[in-house]
Amino acid sequence: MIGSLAALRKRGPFELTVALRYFRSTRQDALIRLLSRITAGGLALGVAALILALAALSGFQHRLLEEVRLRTPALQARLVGSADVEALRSLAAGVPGVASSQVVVYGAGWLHRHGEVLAVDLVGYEQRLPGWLPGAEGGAGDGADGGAKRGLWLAAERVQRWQLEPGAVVEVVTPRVTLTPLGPQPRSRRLPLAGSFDAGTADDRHAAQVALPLDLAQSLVGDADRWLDIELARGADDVRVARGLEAAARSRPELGGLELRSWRDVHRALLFVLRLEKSAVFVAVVLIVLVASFALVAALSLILASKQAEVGILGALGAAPKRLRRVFLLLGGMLAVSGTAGGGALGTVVAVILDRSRLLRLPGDVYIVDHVPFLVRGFDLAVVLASTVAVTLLAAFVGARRVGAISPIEAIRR
Amino acid sequence: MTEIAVRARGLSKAYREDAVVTEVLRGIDLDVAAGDLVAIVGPSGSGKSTLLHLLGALDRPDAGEIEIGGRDLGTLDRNQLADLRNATIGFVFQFHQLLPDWSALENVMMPGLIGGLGQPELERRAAGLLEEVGLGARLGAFPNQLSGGERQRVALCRALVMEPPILLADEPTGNLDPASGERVLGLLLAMRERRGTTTLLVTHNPEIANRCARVLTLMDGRIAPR
Repeated sequence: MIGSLAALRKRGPFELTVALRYFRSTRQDALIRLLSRITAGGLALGVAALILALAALSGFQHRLLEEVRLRTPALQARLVGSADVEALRSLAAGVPGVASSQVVVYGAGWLHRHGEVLAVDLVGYEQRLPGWLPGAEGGAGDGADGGAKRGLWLAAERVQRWQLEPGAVVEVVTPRVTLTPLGPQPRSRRLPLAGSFDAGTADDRHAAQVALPLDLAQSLVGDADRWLDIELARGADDVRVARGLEAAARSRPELGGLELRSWRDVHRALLFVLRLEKSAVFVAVVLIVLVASFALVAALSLILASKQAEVGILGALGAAPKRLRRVFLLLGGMLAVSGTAGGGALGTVVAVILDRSRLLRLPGDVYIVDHVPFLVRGFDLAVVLASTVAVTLLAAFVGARRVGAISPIEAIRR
Repeated sequence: MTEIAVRARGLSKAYREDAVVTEVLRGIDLDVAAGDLVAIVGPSGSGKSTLLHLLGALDRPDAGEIEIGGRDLGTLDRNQLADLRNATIGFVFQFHQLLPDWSALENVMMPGLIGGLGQPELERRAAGLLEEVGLGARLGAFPNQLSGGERQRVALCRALVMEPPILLADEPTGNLDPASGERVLGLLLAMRERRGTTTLLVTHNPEIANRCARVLTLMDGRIAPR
């Protein structure tokens, strides 16, 4: 009895007190207890599924983007024919977040080795193998000092497939023509292998790149596609650095403006698809939550049916219809919040455990990772929880509307 | 001049089921002075309970007007009627109508909880009333742990906890054995006497009716002439 009195003292207003009693329903009414648990459990499972699905997607996308960023130039400024390279280089050096810069040229070509021809993208570098061609093995990265180090850098996979040793000669052919006594001829050079880089498995285009010193590249492809490759300092944000560069360029009108491209521009389509994919998964899994919300309406209706006489008594004692509606709206809210919070906690914990334990294995030679990565993002979690609570509160509102129609005297007569 | 607590004019009420219309009340006129103790008697189906429900703002008449404490019930919406029931009218039903999942004390406190009474005051009042009807030791008991007479005593306390000026009792002893019924009735009469509560009491029992200051007899939906 003392416990009961103490509990009563702690309670808030009528609506909260009654809703809490119905929510707990730990006494006598096994049906309501079961209904509450099924409803909250269904919501929890829906929310947990939503969080897990988004976490797996985020995990994959995060790893994929990491991979892509590692092997894509962070920021480059186009160098048109008359561009003052030194002026641009010094401009870039003055922008916070810029570590270094070097000229690179791009062009298409083919590699020819023992009758096998392979289409490639040639990349000429000015000072050293760019950072976005990582995992250099073999010769040294410095192609400017001549000798045996001046040569081609190929993807490790290609080197392995062609069984090339450092110094092995490969012919490079480009569509840029040279006029000869025999007529226009494509340009070609026989160049030694300087080393290899790791192209990863995320994008086949990375494996098709062939790097070589700038002067060799220019002799093969010209310099129509010439860029100042800007290497960012560790932790620098490419968007912020790009803004800094643009601002600096505006103060130097004699440079003729700046055309920048970042890894985001290069992979614009990929980023769009990733966002679209996430939205699609979100919408698909939200349907689970919607189904659970229908269960909430059904549960509230059943609870209301079983409590009809009590609602009638409360009405006879002076509880206004709007206040009785509030009781059931609160009850629906409690079921929704408990289910959502439980599901949120369950989904997050399971995602963290699965990620750390690497329980779900994948063939590493097929995918970019050897396990299913899970990444729970705070924003995703907030969106899931907020949208679920909103949907379920709407469902609770629909379920609670019927309470106001109950006539006290009809309910008591039954 | 005597203050009128309950006034009814031309009250009519019929129930319809499919094509069958049953006229229960046919033009009831009634004045009950503040502090009166009125018994409403009559055979089954004469409309006693229906009249009580209309006067208690639990149902609306098909025709006619009701004033409670000078307020015309016809002008009030459902939420306002509920507020009026809570503050002005205490009900005792034939079947106690206690909330099964709430203790005796909580049941008695419920109207106060609805009415927004402060918790300490409400608890003091509820416990005092239960003490008054001899249930001071059963505050924490749930309805299924109480006898029929005890439940009806809890219901009586619940009806009086808001200290309403009007008490409506619909055969409060009709479901009890004679001894329990007598105890509940005695308590009801004593408690309304102490509080000066205007009381309308529906009963089949002529002995109970004779203990009331005024007796109204309903016959075929009308108040029979004395």
